[in-house]
Amino acid sequence: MSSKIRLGYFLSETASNLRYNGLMTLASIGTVTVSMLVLGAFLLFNLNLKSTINEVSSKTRVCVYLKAGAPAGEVDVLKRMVEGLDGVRKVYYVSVDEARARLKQDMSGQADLGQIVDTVPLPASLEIEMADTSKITSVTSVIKGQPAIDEIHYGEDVVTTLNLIRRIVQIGGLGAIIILCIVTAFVIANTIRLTVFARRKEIRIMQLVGATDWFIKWPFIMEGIFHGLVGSLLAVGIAAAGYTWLANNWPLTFIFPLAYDEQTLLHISIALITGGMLVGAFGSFSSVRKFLRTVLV
Amino acid sequence: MITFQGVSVVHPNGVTALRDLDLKIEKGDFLFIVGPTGSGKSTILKLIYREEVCTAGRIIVAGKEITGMARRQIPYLRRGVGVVFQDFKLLPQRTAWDNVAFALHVIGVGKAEVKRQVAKVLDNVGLLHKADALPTELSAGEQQRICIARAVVNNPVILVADEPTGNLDPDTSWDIVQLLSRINVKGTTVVMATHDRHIVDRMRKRVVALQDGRLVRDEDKGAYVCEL
Repeated sequence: MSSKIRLGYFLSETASNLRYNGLMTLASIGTVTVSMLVLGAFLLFNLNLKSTINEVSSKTRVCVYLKAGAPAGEVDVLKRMVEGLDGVRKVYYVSVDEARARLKQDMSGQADLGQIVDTVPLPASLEIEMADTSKITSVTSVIKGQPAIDEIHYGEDVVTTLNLIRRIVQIGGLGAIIILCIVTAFVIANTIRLTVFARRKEIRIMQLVGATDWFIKWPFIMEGIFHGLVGSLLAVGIAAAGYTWLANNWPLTFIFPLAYDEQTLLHISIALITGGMLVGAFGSFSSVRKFLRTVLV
Repeated sequence: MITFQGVSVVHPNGVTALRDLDLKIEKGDFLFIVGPTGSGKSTILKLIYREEVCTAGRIIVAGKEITGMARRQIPYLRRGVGVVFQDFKLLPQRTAWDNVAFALHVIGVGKAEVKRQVAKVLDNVGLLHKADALPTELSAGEQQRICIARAVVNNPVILVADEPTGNLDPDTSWDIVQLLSRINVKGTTVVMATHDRHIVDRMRKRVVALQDGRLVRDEDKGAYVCEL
């Protein structure tokens, strides 16, 4: 038999299965929608957390304070060495005068402090802009101990904390997603079990006249995939509408803008739809397989 | 065609359905299995299409040992064995035509071929004019004819019938057995379990009698009860 005939048969069987129990189909689709919405929310949260960390990281600079009177030649060699290190984007030399000018600017308006700034001894420094903040520690450990260097400062704590938060969210979220997927697959499996039970006489005769297990299974698996597809499409629609609204109404004064990278959002949508269909297929497969194995020889 | 060698069946509840059965059924045989309820008649039939498995012994069907057959092989065995039931097992929401066509659809036969085969077999059982009727619109005899049509539409080498006349009046029963006999004449091996003394005595075919799971008589051109 050509695959065309076979597909036609499977599709018509799937359609009649769906008609059999409309209410359970709705319940099943609804569960997929809720699960995929939570998964979507998690992925969007993670996306924003990641972009926030990148934002913070890109603003993180390593300040290398130089010893007073370090020879200009030595400083120059050090600057070139740091520039060549992995993860470093750019290195700026901040002279004593420049440092003083910056401080003055920061304290402008506080007239009586202007005088003090002139008298405070300020060191010259190298400012390292990182391309990859995860390399900060390796960069600092390499240059630590160089004779021209007095002290090294960087926003170590902020970056470490943000990365830790991200790890926790990822692990916790992953656990929650696995549980949700199992619950969804279970609900779909139960719905399909009802369809299987409603059609047990047909299945019985199919087995007796020599239909293969896979031939019997396919319409039910397609039914599960259909639940997953419709449920996840609904979830993607709701998530897209909600997120777009949020992006449009995001307060501009807020520290970080909402991530709205179309490519990534498309990937998230595809992940949700694929996930929904897989959960649906798995739920129905396990249900019909169990039925064929336990009830009939 | 079918060979049972030292076959025993003990059910999980401890009941012994068959004890050390040896039986050989040749190609083209017409065989009655008789015996009281619970003597193991149905078990023999179910073993042939592997609805049940034996706990000891060997069973060979159409040249293949089916005793340790893999699950995925069973459908292909069943395509060669048609089954007729006492209660017909027709799908109530499908027409006579669809009930028969269903058996071909699910083993992957193409549409044109299904149409040709179903028309032929319905004509053979004399019910082509009732092709569009639902089972509830047919008499019991007609329903059994549809059941037989479904069992043979795939041209199986073996036809297994489990008390096919159990729900029918004597005249209709005789018609059904005549139909099975015609199918047998065309070369299909027929194995029929029955309680119908009248039919067995009138047909004079091979008779295998069972008692408590044991074969107690195997007679060519036999009768329902031992005449010796």
